[in-house]
Amino acid sequence: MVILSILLLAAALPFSSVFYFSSIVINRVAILVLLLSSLLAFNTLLLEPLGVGVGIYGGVCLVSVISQAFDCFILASGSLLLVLATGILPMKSLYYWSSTREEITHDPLSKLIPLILLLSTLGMSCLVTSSDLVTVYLSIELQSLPLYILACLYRDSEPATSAALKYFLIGALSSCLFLLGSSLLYALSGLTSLEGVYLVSSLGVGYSGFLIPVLFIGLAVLIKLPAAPFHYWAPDVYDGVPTLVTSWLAIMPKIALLAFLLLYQGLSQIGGIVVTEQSVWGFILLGSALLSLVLGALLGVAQYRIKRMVAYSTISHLGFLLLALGLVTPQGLEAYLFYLFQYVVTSSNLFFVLLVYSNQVLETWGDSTVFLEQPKPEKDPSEESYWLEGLSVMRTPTTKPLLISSEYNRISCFHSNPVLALSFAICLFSMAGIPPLIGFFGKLLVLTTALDSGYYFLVFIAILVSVITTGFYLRVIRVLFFDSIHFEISRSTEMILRRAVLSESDPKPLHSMVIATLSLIIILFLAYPYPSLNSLHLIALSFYFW
Amino acid sequence: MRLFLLELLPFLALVSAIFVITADNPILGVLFLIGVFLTVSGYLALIGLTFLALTYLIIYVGAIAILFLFVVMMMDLNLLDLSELPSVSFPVAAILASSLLASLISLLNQCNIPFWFDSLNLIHLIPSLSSTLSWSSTFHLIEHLHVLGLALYVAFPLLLIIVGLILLLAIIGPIVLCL
Repeated sequence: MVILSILLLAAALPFSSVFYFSSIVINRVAILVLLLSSLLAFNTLLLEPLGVGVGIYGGVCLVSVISQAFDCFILASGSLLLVLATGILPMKSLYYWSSTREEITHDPLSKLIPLILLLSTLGMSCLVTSSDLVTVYLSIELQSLPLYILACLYRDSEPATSAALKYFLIGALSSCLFLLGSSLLYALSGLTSLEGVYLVSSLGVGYSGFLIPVLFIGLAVLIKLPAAPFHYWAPDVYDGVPTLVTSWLAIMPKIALLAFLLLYQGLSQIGGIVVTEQSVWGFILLGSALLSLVLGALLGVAQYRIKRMVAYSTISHLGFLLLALGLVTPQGLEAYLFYLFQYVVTSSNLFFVLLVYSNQVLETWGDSTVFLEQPKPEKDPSEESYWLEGLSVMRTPTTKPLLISSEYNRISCFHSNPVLALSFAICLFSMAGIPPLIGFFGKLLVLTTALDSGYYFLVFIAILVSVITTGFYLRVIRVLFFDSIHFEISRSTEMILRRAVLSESDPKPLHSMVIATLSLIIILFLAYPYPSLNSLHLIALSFYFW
Repeated sequence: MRLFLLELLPFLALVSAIFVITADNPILGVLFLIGVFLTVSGYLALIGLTFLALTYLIIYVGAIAILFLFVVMMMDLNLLDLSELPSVSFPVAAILASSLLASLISLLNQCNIPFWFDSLNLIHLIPSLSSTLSWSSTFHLIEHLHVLGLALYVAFPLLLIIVGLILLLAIIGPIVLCL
């Protein structure tokens, strides 16, 4: 379905200038495609016939209950995040302020974005079902190549390009490690199928030799997820690339790669050497979880740009996820799945809110062309986050000479749009794990299962760390509700900004609908938790006890 | 005819390789480099390694060398005299060349071929090469390309589709980046 629609879209794009499709139409089509294919995946999620899994396409893919569930989830969240892409303003319109709304909707670039994102989603859903080293590699490439392209979408801005380059190089490094590992596995076993490798390795011949390639592959995946010892690229990249791409980067590949880590677990249990009743890989997972938890929280406190802070909080969440994955129990798996679910819901809501905020700024800048003599912006227009910088920050760097804070803009975000600020706060609280919200239950599940398995130290650390993260979420909330916004721009645009803040440009209806729905899910999960919890429980049980 | 070609092509390859180094004009150098690749791929095709030959043609000639050519033409290096360049890189080049030569010699020794300076007639190498390939000549119909095609289209069609999509993306990507 996705393949077909990609081909159709690719074929339709050249005609779009003739028949005058707007980019919004194409985006809507892509959203519908993803939703429908998610429904298809949901439809094929049949417990009985799938059983332990059915190999398709000559055994390069393995469809099992859990892979179908992940597939459904990935496609659904992909369609959700594509809604964001409707709001993207292409670079050109940022440079030439005079460009009208028509020009934006008919920009060829914004027509291509849904197509690229669809390709990426296809790669992810392939990755989830793949059971062969070649398929895994190809689908990892298919899912990350579009992201490299999207990351350098704003190619005229220096931070965005450097972030994109960094992302690309890190991705290449991780691919290299993956290829090294898989070629070693192939050299040892002569097989590329994951199950075949597992069988050969369990024969006992060259048992410990399999450890190193397996670890290489696992480390490659850990680099791609920014799990802790390898996380240094994440904040830079998330901060540099446009917010739309950040949202995609921070959520989608993580789901797919985490699903792959889960499916890969069978192979990675080839520990060889057993360290404290755990395989080496489990040990590495737990160590990485510990490091992610600690580093994500401690470094997150020091950030003053909101996207960097989000990146560090992502790393800290990854710590929880890896912790749940590292306990190899059905309860752990259930906690893992639930945590992933709530993480995706919460952080996509967060990104929606962020993007709406930054769009407001861009739009108010956009319609203020009247005041600008020069058609060029003062600074880098891709930095949607100068304003967000002011949002998240207590100490706006005063070293920059252009900083002004006049009394015109002494108005807090809460007053400019109370509902939006409220849902932002809900998201942040949920990420911090404040009890009635969904994030609390995720953390609760992970921590209780870890306690059951006897990891007292890790649980202790995790609780400490979640207190620290609450600290930095609360800081943002303080700025949101009690501080006035400091715009960091030159004096010449001060007049415009006065208008900008006072005129409340509303978010797009679709965006606000999504934000409302997600916020309601976050709040009201408490009222009716059974469907999600029960289905996750079933999936976890089917993974272990079929 | 085949034997003649087998003798001629390596000779041409050697000659054009020498020209690659000695050419004053970098564009000519790159053109000779393409010549080297072409002759080598012809040689490989003649001794039956068809897939390797095609890979040489597509990747080295089709992509890399043409890219070089364009880069060289864009950079407009015509006026640069290569002989006046500082010769810092000579030791490195010497080390690299000698290591390559050593590995080549050790490889040839492994193949039980008499030391190849003994006879300058290159044709002596050919029977030994073809004798190592003799078992494959029993499967006359199944060449490399056949085997690869069977594997790709029959066993792993999905992988082929995924690769195709990646290539599609590689076409779309530059368009997006240049818009």
